[in-house]
Amino acid sequence: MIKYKIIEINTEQHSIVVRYYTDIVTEAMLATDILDGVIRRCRTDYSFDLPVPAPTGTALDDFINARAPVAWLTTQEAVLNPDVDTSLSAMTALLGVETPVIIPVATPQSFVLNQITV
Amino acid sequence: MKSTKYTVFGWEFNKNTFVDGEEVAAIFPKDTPMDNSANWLFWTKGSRVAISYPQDFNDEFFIEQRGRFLNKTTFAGHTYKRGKYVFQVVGDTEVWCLDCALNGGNLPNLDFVALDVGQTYTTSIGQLILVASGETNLGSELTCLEIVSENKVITATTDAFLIIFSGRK
Repeated sequence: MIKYKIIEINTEQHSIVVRYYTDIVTEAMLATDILDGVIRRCRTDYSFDLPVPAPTGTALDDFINARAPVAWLTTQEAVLNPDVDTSLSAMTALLGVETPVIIPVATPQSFVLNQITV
Repeated sequence: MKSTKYTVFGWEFNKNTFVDGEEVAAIFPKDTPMDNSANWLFWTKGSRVAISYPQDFNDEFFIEQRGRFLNKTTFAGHTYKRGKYVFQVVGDTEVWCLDCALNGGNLPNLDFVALDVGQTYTTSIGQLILVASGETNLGSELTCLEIVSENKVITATTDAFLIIFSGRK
């Protein structure tokens, strides 16, 4: 489960700093700056400018939840899980191979074809 | 390449069109037998030629791929060796692709009938048929037919390509 905590409130900037982590990808693992055993910064500390008036209660919760790095933390949990293959072995053959980029064409909406009975 | 997505009997189906001379790259990270291909590729028009392929690749069958065909049956028994391929499209080309991933990993069985102008195909009750290209007496390109009558005959009024579905999604 992804969790968050507000670790700084900057009234002069009308912003907050939020830290995201999980039970598996812990604050200690994410730490990038530790002083005297105290974690000062993590990779997932994000600064958010808040609207005026600042959201509170459920609205604040929604604001922070919507900005959580869900995909990244999920990937990091998968990397730590021995039951999930994150070896990237399929990439080995492509390592260092120069490949031209084929610009993808955006796929338009799906057209539902009408059906006739005969 | 221009890709257009259609929902056909509930399945997500892409029609990809290429212009003459266009190059398309494909990378196979490991040896890939076509019998195990997860996707269905129907070449309804045009063809392609492999102009670049792995050095140890020697299956002439793959080098030049012409005419109207289906990857799973036409390439049965053939394997793409690991590596990168570049194909050049010959003539204006059209490929219908039923992508396994786009359909939740679940695909129907499919077959095709390529008709030259004037040729006929006798249907069976219960068949679900897409007129993927050309014109027939029962409808032109992009017509979906559900057959409920016995021995209904489809006659091609131009060269036509029919894709037959085992069921709807």
